[in-house]
Amino acid sequence: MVRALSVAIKFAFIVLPVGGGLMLLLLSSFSAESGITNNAVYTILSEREALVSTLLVAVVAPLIACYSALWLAPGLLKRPKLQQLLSPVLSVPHVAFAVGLMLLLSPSGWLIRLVESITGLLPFPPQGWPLPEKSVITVMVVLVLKELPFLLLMIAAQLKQVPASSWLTQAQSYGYSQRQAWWRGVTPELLKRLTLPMAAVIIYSLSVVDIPLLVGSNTEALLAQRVYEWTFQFSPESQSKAVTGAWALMVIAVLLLFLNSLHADLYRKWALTKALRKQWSNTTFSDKAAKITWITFGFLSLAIIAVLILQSVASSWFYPTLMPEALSLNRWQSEWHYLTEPSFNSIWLALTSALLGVIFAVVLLQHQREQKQKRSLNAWVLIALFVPQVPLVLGWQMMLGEHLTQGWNVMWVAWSHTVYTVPYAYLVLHGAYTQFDEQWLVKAQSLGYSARQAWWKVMLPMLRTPLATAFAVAFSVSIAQYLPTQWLGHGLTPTLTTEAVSVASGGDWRIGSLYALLQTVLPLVVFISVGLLSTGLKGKKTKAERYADYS
Amino acid sequence: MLTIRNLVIFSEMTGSSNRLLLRLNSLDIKPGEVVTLMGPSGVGKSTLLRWVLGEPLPNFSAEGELTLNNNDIGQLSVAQRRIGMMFQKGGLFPHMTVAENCLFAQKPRSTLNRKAQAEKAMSMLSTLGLNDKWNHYPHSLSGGQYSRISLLCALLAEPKAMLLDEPFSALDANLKEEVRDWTFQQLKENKIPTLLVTHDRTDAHGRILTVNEDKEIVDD
Repeated sequence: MVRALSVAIKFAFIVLPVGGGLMLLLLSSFSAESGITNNAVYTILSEREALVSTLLVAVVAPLIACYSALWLAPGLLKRPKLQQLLSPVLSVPHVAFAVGLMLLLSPSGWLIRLVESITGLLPFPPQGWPLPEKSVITVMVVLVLKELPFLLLMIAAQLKQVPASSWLTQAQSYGYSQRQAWWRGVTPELLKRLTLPMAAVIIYSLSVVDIPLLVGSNTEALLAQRVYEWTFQFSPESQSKAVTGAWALMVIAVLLLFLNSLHADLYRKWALTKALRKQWSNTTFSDKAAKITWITFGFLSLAIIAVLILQSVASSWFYPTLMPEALSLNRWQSEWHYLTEPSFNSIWLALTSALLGVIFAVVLLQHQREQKQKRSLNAWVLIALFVPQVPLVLGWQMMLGEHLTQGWNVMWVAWSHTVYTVPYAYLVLHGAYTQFDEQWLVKAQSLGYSARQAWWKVMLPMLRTPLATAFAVAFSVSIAQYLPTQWLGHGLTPTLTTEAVSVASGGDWRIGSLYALLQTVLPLVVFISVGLLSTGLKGKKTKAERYADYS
Repeated sequence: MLTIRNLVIFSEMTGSSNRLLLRLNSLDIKPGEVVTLMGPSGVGKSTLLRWVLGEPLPNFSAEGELTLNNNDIGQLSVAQRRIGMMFQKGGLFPHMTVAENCLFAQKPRSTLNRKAQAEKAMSMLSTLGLNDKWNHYPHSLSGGQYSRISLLCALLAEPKAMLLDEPFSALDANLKEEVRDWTFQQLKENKIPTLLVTHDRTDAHGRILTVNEDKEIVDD
């Protein structure tokens, strides 16, 4: 039964979307009308600036996020509660994060106003500000800040599986300082374990479309953004460029995934051979800086939500005043009519796809548990995260063809979201599920429960917290989906994300803030509910825990 | 010589006064000497070793003087104290081969170049008849091989004193005696003062200390 279900899920949500999507993209590449042509290849190759920017974003942003996360991670060892800060930050969708960050850090942003109100040095928005509203650098900053909590969460999961504290002590007894022990003794193993999450981050950065549409340069668009734009120009020539561009993204993806697979090994060699600098102090400047960064990160997340709220109720707010001159709910009232449908669509899509994602991930993990030898992460389940979204969703569009125009698009949008909620739910659940102590199930069965009853009455209740966290993560993954919703929905399933991008990319940050705020609130509510559920569970023992007490 | 004077360790209790965990008035361990501290679990043996090593003790407060070869090392970091360790679990980094573990252990303190470091480690492995394990990962070693290479790495880091925490408890009876004798012989040859803690009397060596009812460490 579990095996049959697992095969069906793998077919419908892994083989069909990835295999089918890429196959259709391949077939269409030979189409006489809109296939790959020399002209299209030449156009792509001549987009030198787009290619360089694309590579820069896909290589530099993930690397900065990765090493920043590793630099901050010793804080997780000292204060494991910091991990609880990460989930809510992770739940803020990229688009809302980008809108909030712009409202904070753009030349007329809240932080600049704060500097002006304290120092009086900036009576006008600064010229030549390093973080303009639209640039490749801004895209990178948003991506780094958004990938950081994801990678920290992945590192936190790994730190529960490796005896990092013992390794640190061991290395220090050899003469390494605390920081050196971290970078030379622990990091090589962590980097190896981060290979798959890093692959997902790299591929996301390579093919992200919504963030560059919001904060990217209009004149030097990234390749994924160019492909996205070409698909909306319906001439055969543009379609040909789109297909060629999609393949260019695939080629870059393969190259980057190959380099990513070498990363941990190269680092390991460096860590073993590079000479050490004398560093004797126990609490170094780096430690203090890391601590300040953690605090700044917490404040930044709160400030983003605060500025979104302020902007959404500000009726007039001119530079350089720190607080809005007047507050009103006018903008909410006038936009409410337009907000209801996207909100409704976002909620039902996220609830459905998150629920399905968690159930399917449990089935896949249960199947994996039953095959006792294979308990490591199954990369095949995550494969949708390793294929750039632009070519993949383009392939789905071709694969589904007429189905998308016969009123079925809503179902296909839900399906496309589930393709992405399954791997994320699997990633979150994997550790807890595969390491669940078999003894509990054996004990329950020795008391007369069937294997199925033991699973239902003992295992699932004991895994309630990771299951709830997986649901919350899957929920926010669905809320953040832009490309599949836009392309498969044909504009008939507007969500908060698609509307936030279309409003804010037009430069209207004020209206954009309403959508961004709602987009943030929905997953945040789910995360807080999950937190309350976990806290409540600690106070009130579940049947399974009472059972555990008496056994 | 490793010297401890007037040491008191308290466990910090929330909402009430601190509870005395251990007291040690005076302990001198000469070069090459092994002193064994015995006692059941929970008396604070491992906490004492962690204090000597210089690890932070978040739920304890400790006061006392610690000197190594007449130098006060009480305020130094773990790295600066030059005290080696060999604990029951671990000792070798599982993601590094034996060769990499040996080189990793020598990197911070050795004045030799990398090639000479490798030769030194290889010759020590050869005396154990384990040079064929040079490129093996620790998980492929037997219990005895693991323990010996673990001590070898600790010695390669050129420690001036050594701490052993139940280092033989994971070994089976036959192997235990062989590894134990070899370990004590190495420590003696290298003139390293060593503090061993164990709850197993058969593992004890040299002068034996115990913890009495007043939580004081005294000669057995």
